[in-house]
Amino acid sequence: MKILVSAKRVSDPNARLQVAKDGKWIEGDVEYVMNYFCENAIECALQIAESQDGVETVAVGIGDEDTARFIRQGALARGIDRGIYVAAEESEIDSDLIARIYEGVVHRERPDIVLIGKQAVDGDSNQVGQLLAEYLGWPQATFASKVELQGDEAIVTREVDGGLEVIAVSLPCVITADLRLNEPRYASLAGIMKAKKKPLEELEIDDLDLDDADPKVKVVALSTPSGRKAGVLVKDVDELIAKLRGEARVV
Amino acid sequence: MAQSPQTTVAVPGGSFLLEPAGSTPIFTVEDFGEEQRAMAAEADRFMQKEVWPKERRLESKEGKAAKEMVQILKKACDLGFGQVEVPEKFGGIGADKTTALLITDKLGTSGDFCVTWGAHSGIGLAPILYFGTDAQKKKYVTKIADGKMVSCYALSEPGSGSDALAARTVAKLNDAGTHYILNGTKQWITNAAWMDVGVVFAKVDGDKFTAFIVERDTPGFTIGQEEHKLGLRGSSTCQLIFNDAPVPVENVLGEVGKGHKIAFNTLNLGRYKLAIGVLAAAKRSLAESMQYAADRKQFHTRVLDFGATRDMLADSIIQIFLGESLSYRIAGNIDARLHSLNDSAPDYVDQQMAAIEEYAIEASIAKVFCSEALDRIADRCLQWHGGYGFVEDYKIEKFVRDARVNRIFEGTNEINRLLIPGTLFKRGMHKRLNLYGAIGQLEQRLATDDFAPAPAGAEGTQLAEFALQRLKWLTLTVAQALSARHGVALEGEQETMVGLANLIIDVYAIDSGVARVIKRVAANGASSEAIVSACVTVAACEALDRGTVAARRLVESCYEGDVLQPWLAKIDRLGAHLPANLLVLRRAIAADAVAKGGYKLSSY
Repeated sequence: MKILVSAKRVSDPNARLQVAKDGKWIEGDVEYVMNYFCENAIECALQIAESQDGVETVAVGIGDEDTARFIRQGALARGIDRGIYVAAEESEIDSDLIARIYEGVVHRERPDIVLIGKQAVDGDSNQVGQLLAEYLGWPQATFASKVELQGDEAIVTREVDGGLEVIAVSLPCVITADLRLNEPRYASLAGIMKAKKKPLEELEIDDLDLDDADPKVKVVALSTPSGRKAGVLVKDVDELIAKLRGEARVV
Repeated sequence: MAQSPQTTVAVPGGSFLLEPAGSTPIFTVEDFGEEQRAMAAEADRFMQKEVWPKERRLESKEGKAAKEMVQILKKACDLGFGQVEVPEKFGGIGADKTTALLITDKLGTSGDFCVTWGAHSGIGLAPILYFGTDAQKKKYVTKIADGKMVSCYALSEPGSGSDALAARTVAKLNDAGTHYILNGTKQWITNAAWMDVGVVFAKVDGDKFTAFIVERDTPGFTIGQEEHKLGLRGSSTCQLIFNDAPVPVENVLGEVGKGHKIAFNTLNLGRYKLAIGVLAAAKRSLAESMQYAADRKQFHTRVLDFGATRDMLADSIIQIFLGESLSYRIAGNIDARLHSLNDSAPDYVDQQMAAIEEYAIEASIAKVFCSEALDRIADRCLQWHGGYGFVEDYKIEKFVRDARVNRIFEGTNEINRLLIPGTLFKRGMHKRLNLYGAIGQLEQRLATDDFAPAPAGAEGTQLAEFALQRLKWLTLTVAQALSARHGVALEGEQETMVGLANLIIDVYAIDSGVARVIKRVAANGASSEAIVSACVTVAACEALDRGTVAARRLVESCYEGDVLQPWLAKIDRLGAHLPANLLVLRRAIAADAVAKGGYKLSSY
């Protein structure tokens, strides 16, 4: 069995980002971390690989040059067998193109499962797994909080509004990982040292023979959040309720 | 093996005082490669997730929390952090000293864990690792490194702290010749409550100072009550009490009567590590307190935006930059020496110890400089909190409490200060270091050079380099004056020795900072290194001001009348008050830190 997992770097959600002068991307000394949901996907793949024999795990990262480092340190160091890095300008790819790149990689690798973080915590698009399933014509199980393999099926518990849904999808399939799927492990020092000897293939988008390699979404403008407005002091409870009803319309 | 790139050379210890800044490249954190950065990032993550959120509970040591620290320790070992310095043949990763220091740095952000970890994987393991027999190493090293046994190190006693060799714990060989019978009490033993094994010092027959490996279940060996401490309350500190406790003869560590060798070498190993650990605590105090000062408004102004706050901030940033520069420089120097050794040589361990001892002066400086930097920084951070700094709602009160003991253990800062000039003079007299040659050269120079009071049109680090060189010459002059006046009796003149030590500490800190800035400017260009350049300029100019006054006072303390005048004249020629607007530089340093949200002069 072969499992493909996503390894995407994202700008640190706790860092202060500066919008670039052209207003379309970020700039400066941005610190990056591994996308949280990709960590869950990686952990899930590792647990499957540990629970049965003959599972190969492959991490895929798409983006700027530094992405290769995240594949190595975030995925291979934790135990993923090998990596594939697809070079791309992060400011020039959208969810659709990323899904098509994955599609290209899937055609080369022929995995049984593609495990992807349900979304990246930078763009928060939440589209790649769904688009990929569509392009491949595979079943999908999104927002997984539990994954079990039974024969040719994956039994996936999904977190949906108001509760849990358990579905069975036949392999091959696309699964997107939610935060409660597992507790991602640390990379051990030995794992970090082993990672540098693991194979990490580098590809260009052109290597994947995509039918359509044009992004469909253009970033028109980025802006930092405006500062919070000052609060208002109210005289009494009556005025508070009046304002909540009239201005805020929350009661 | 995890190794740093070799970017420095094995210069003689103490030579920083004699050579111009940057005359040999130093190792800096900028040299770390991807693999080491990945290890550092994982250590950092471990601390933030496994330790920081539990600190208050760990301090209580009640109920479940009593065992929680050991669980964290074991988890750190599971990830391999205990194996960093263990050679590969004993299942470790055999990292070099710079990589090991990097891990210590990242695991140093929480005082309680830092001290627990240091006692276990540092001073509790290193003596066995270096001085143990193959059998002892096989039996203990892997178990300690993997966290299956918790280790500790027991040197101090109720009656002997700094004067460690005056220990009163005794060991007597039994009639059968199979066991040493230990009697006595060890004091302030970190990890005591959790220890499975420990390195314990006792005097065989009351006079031969010797190290023993002692296991927890030794009959007649008990652990005392937990001490109630000012800080580091999440760590365990108790007495180890020996009452006719038999320790097998095969557990003698090293040779009988050679325990001092183990004790002193362990201190040499521990001091520069303590330095980087406390610096990590300082960075965290600063980061958390800057956040508070950014949120808190008084007079409609953020506390972080007041000039008085920013002045303290600039000072803190400078101290951290210098401390970081000097600590990693030491590790780099030791590595450069260790790399040239042959590990199959019969005296390999002695050579390793000699390589580490070579930088004993620098290690003492690091310990003093960084522990005092932490105290100053934590204290100022508390000040920004106002009344809220005095209550337990914020962590700063804990950081301040935890900081204090660092000036006491691993050799008090007074002991370390005395060691700095003491070792320097000894090496000068034994011609290990060309101290008196350098003094002679300076003498000649004073006869021919005119020593302009300030450099014309100095830019960037030139001003810092000028001030630093003057400070070195001033220090050499004071050393010359004091040793001419007191001779070998100088060692007994503690106030004077401390005064000279302060000059040397400033020299090494600024020399390390300047060497690092020179290296960074060469790599990245001057414009992107303006802030670090400002840091060393401020530090050097202020140190020269301070040093000029201190130098006068020191020679005035031992000469008078006609003999005094030539010394003062020399100091007046060498010392200088450099005209520079340091306020502008300090404001720029603080503004940069505010814009970037903390100490961001290095990223590793």
